[in-house]
Amino acid sequence: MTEEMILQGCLDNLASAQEALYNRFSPRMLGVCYRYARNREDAEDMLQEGFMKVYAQIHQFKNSGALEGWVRRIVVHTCINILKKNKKFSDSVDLIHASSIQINEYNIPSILQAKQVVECIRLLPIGYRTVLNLYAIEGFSHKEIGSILDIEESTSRSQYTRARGLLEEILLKKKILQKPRENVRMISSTN
Amino acid sequence: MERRFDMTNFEQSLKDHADQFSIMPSNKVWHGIYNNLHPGSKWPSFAMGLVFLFTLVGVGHLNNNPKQVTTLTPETSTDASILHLDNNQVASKRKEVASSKNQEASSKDQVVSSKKQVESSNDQVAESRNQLASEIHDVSSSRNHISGIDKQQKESAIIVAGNFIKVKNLTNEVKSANELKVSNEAPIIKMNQKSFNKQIQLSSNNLNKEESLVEHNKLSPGRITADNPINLQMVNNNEWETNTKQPLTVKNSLNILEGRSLVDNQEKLLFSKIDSLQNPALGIIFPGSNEVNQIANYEIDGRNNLKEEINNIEVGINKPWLVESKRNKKVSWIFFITPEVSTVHFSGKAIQGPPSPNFPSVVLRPANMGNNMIYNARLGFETGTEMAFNFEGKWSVTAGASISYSGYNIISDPAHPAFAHLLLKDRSGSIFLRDYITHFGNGQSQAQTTLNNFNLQASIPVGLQYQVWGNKTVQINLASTIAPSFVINSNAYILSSDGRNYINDPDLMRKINIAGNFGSFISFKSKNIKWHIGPDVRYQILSTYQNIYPVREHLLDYGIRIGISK
Repeated sequence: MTEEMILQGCLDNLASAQEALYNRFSPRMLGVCYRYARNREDAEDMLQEGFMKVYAQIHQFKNSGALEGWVRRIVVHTCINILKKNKKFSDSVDLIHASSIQINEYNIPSILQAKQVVECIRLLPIGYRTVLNLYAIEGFSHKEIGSILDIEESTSRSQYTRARGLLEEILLKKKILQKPRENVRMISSTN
Repeated sequence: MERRFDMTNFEQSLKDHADQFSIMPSNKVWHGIYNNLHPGSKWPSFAMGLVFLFTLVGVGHLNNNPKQVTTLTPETSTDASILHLDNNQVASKRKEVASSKNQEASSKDQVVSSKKQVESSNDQVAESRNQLASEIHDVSSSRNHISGIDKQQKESAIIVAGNFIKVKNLTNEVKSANELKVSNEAPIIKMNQKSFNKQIQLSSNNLNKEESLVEHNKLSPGRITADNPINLQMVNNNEWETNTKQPLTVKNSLNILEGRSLVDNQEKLLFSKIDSLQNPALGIIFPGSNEVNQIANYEIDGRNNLKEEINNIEVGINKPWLVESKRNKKVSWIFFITPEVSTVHFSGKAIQGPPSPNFPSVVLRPANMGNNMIYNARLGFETGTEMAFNFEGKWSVTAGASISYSGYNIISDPAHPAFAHLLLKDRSGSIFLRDYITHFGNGQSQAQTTLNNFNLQASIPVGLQYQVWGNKTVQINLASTIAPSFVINSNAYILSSDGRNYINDPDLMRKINIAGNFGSFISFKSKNIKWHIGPDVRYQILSTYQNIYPVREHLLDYGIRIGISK
């Protein structure tokens, strides 16, 4: 089923098209949700709510961009909105300090590299993690992040700096990241 | 080939890796979305629930609706005589009964006419029986009572073979009280038609004599004397009052002759003085000793003698207050339990991941997952109820409901919490990864622990049954059913893709399954209960897991089915 057929079917409220859209994007979108959520169950809740918004707003999609990008933006905003409903999240954005994180070998998963990186991100405090996700992965500017999270732009910058430092530390401990010698070239694994 | 993490462009490298990551959501996410998008589409499950409910109600109705075999009117029963006896007005005379069938027909008419006359005189009876304070339900004489009957009385005992006596409404107000209803019921009284006819002489003239058929003398329990007229009083008058709606079945009259006691312990009733019933107008039989013997030895339909038939009567005597009813012989309702030994059969090939987590690329190699597991059989059971409907000759169709519990034990070992992963295959055939944290090893170390894999299912078995051999008392049958089932609860540990750990993922479990049963059993009757005992094999046709998990697990149960029916 082509993307156009899926879109048209979703506009016609056809269950088969809706399922096709879900099957096409849900694994990757759950990966996105997983980076924001505390656990998998929360991530699935976010995914479900996000897709509900996708189906509800599908008529607003214009073929100017990729459908996946459009779905992703809705899912990310859904995740942020769910996180913002949690008061602890708002507090954590400003208060968490990197020094409080205990990193040891046991916390770090050792499966595949993409999974490892995501799991390392998830080891970050939720405030750091959110800013890191939005800036480094989703590509929002600090100004936009400040607007989304209702924080100062400078706060977003400082949070990101701390988050990045902490993540590098975690990646180094896991040996996914190696300290650069002459050429900065980090190798996580070899075939 | 894995992309390298480049420190020079941290954000881009981070984004690239993060974007590669995907997780397969569980089915409940889509179900939740679908139900929100299409709330009206729940009707199939609702309709199925209604169908199931109506099926159960229908089956229950078919099985429990008694078939009235006695309408108790001379017009509908060729060999029946129905009498409504009024204790105070009905008197009896003992006369010889003509043996011809023509006389039988005329006697029926006479019975009817006398019945009407007796009924018409109920008012007079009520006046003369003001002292009666209770109502008779179910009267029969016990052996003790019978022992008190002298020979002469016994000869004059009421032979109402296959009949029932219905006595009701003997209250103080007694308007239609003390009604003793006697009729022939074909299956029971067929036997004695000739002798019966010989003994019956009905005369409507007798009614005019207005003899006192029933005296008011109280009869002490266990004692019936020739001097006492019929006395349908109860030892305990309170019990009369509390059991006012239970008629007396005079099948028990046969048992009087046989010295049987069909008296319900809770309903100690006094039966009548037999001589007082010696009124032909009542259509009651008063045989002599020869007739008694004839009755006792009479064969019904050339198959069963009277004693056996009486035993059959006793089987159904649990509710003697019921007007004679008969179950639909084509339908039987069986309650069963099957203690089982449960084990498992594996099929399909597992997708195994890299043997070492440090080995980054996913190497897929097939393996027989089942062979790598160490497991033992365990005990299970299946219990439920089943209706068998004989639709043609030796063939019956069965349907019912059951609950089964089966599973097996996995030998594992406690391990430090570790990440384990499982490679699964989605509908399109592409392989994806699912990760878990577990602390169960594969059982290779010395320290062992047992993991219970089980399935608790509710099933609706439907099938066929064939009688291979049998007579009236013993049958050998083959039975096979297929049972759609709903998994009420389950637990399953499966081996991770690298074979090192056991992991548990409830999302992988299938909620709806199908099982097949095959077995043979022997049926035999013991006292009031029919037993059905035999070996039974149950095989779970669909895998315990959903199709995304390539290993198929089929539970296999061997057991002995023990069933009972009426």
